[in-house]
Amino acid sequence: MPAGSSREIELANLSITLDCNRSCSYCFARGVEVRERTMRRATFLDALDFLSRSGIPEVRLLGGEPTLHPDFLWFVERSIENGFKPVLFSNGLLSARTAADLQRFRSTDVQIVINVNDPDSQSIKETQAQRDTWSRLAAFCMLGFNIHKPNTSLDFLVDLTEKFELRRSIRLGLAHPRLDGSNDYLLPKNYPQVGERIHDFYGKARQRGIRVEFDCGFVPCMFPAALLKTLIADVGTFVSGCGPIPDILPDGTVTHCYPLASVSRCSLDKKNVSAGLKRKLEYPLQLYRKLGIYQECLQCPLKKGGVCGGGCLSAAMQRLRSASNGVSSPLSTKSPAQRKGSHPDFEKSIASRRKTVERPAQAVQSQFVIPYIDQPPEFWDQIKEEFGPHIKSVYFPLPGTMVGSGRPPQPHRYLHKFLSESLFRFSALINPVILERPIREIVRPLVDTVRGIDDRYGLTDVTVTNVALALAIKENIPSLRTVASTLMDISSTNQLLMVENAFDVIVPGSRIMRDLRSLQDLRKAFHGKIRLIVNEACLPGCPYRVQHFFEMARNTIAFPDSLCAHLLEQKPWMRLTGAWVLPQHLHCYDGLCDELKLAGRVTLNDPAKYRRVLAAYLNRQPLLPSEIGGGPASVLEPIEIDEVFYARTLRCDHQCDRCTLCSAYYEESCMRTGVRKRLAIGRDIDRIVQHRGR
Amino acid sequence: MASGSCFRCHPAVAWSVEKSSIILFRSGTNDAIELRHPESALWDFLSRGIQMERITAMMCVLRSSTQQSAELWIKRRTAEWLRAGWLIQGDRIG
Repeated sequence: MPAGSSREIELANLSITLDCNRSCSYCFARGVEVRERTMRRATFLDALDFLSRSGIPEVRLLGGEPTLHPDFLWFVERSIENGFKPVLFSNGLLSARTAADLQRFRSTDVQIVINVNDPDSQSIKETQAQRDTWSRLAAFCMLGFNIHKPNTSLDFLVDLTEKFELRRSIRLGLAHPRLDGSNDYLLPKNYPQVGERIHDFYGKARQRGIRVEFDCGFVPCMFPAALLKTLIADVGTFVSGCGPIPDILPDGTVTHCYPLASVSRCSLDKKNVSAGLKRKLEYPLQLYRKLGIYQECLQCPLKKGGVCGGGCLSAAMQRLRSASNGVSSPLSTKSPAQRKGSHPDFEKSIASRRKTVERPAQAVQSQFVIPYIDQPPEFWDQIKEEFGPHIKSVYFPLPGTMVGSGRPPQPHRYLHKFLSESLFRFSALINPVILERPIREIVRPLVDTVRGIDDRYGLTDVTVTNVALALAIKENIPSLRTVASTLMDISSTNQLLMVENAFDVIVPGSRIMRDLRSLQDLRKAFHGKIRLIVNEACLPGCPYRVQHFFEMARNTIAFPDSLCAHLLEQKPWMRLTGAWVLPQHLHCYDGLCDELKLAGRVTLNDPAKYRRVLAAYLNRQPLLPSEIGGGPASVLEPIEIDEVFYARTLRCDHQCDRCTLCSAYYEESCMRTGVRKRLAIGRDIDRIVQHRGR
Repeated sequence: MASGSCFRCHPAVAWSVEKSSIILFRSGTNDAIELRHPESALWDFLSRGIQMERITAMMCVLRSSTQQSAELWIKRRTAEWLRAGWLIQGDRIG
């Protein structure tokens, strides 16, 4: 056993690799900059020395996914040899070989905390892989769960622990923000709701003899009084604090914790002991320790008395404001400790944090639902690598000919391979603008088909255009979320009464995509999620739309004309009134939606364009309206849309018959870009060609 | 208060709005200061870039004082904050 000196840090995490085979939206380890992504053996031995000098008995191996490190087993063996107890924090997606390797150890020597996600957000493949791990390594494993949504049910953790006879402890963590707010995290305003959930869960776990352990950042005021009493009585389960539990990164640098990695960091050397390290890591942060996650924390007796630390410091620092006039943020002034060992990540983090201060972080964390296009696995691997954490799911039309999907049939050469092998989550579309057979005849076979696909590949949700179908899916496959297609044109709160209990997600009708007030009303009134299509170009309330979508779904033409073409020929400025949102204007919708959807099964089937448009929307980089792949009613001319104009269209009364805002903007933009001249010449050429034809 | 006076929050200063105060932080010097009413209101107005004439009018109301008294009070506070490095003289307010 390592010699014990007086310890100031009880625990330390060894992050041995940043590579991971999962892409959880709440992950705060992603994006941390290091010189080396995987830890060398020598660095690991230095870290063991540090733990030994500091009297820390556990070697907590984290990632990324630690089992992906090629020397992972060597690390476990060295830890045991040196008298440490390795604790492995894994996502449980272990290969059979890794599981077999771990079985060689005694379960009293090695502990594995399997961090699971909400079952609804995991693919069947992930769930199956975890179950295989539990079956093989039950005696080693306990469950861990990071809460990043306020309404998450926790009961499944107890059920899984019992079913697989796992160790009878469950670790609960709160998803904390990185300092730049770029991950999905639990907002402190939602803590009390989570506290209620934990109250129920804690009672059940306790009844069945399962111990619940709390990670950092929990605050007493989030719990109902009855639970708080129990927690205090169950000594050792709950300590309200905020680190440091230092993370020793693969390159040998040490951070206060992942969320604060950009501002509190130093190097591990041969002499560090925990007390000195703690001082170094705390120094740049001590100024902000007054802060708590709530405005009330400053006067709270529990914080004053040291009973509560005020929650996660990174979460508390999200409340900081600074001059938004382009000057550097307060945090960029380096402390003496950082002047010595400053990290390039520091300034970058501040720069992105400044953005967060100026614009709410919510939409920056948006999750995108993206279309399937028929490309080989390499394309999807690249999409996963580049954009994985931001992709909620990939949608694809229901295979077969039972119903159309609002688009002409698209190639599906790689679809089966994609669904079988890719690590994305999947959404199915059953969204013809009308179902072509009576609903009572078609519901049953449709539900059976969806169930078959769900069993085979795993689905997260199904987008439909019919309430009865949605209700039938909910009744028969309760694990699936139902999504109301934009073609249902749900645009007002009274329509919500008509679809009550049928949908978990609503994609609002295109008629309110430029009407922030209506979107706000819908958002307030609907308890589920709002998903906005960002690059749909349809005119709001277009009277041609139903027939157009009907024809399109039955057509074999790859790019069918729009029925509104003649209208747009006469009034081309109406294209400016379409339902699209440019990436650079997404911030206008911050707080109005939970998810964003990219249309483009047809219009983005060029892989290069697909990547370009997706990247632009994810990073909010400017695009012209002609570049977003919005279909035939799109703005075709390469005109720029300035923010003032766009913002006005979001708050106007949409009385286009009495207003000249869009027509004047269109004319002026075309003149400015020379488009009008080119259009006029084009029309002249058309006329000459037609004349000659006659 | 001279109508031409203008200030900016020091670029190294951050602040948090608390239940009944505002805390200013300056990391370079590791300084923090808690402003209570009516100082917190003045900081809030300055940070929002509100014109000094309007700030003076609002401070008259908040402090139940005459314009002259409000001007003098603002002048003292801003001078103090300038000296302490919370504010800097700028070409525009806020």
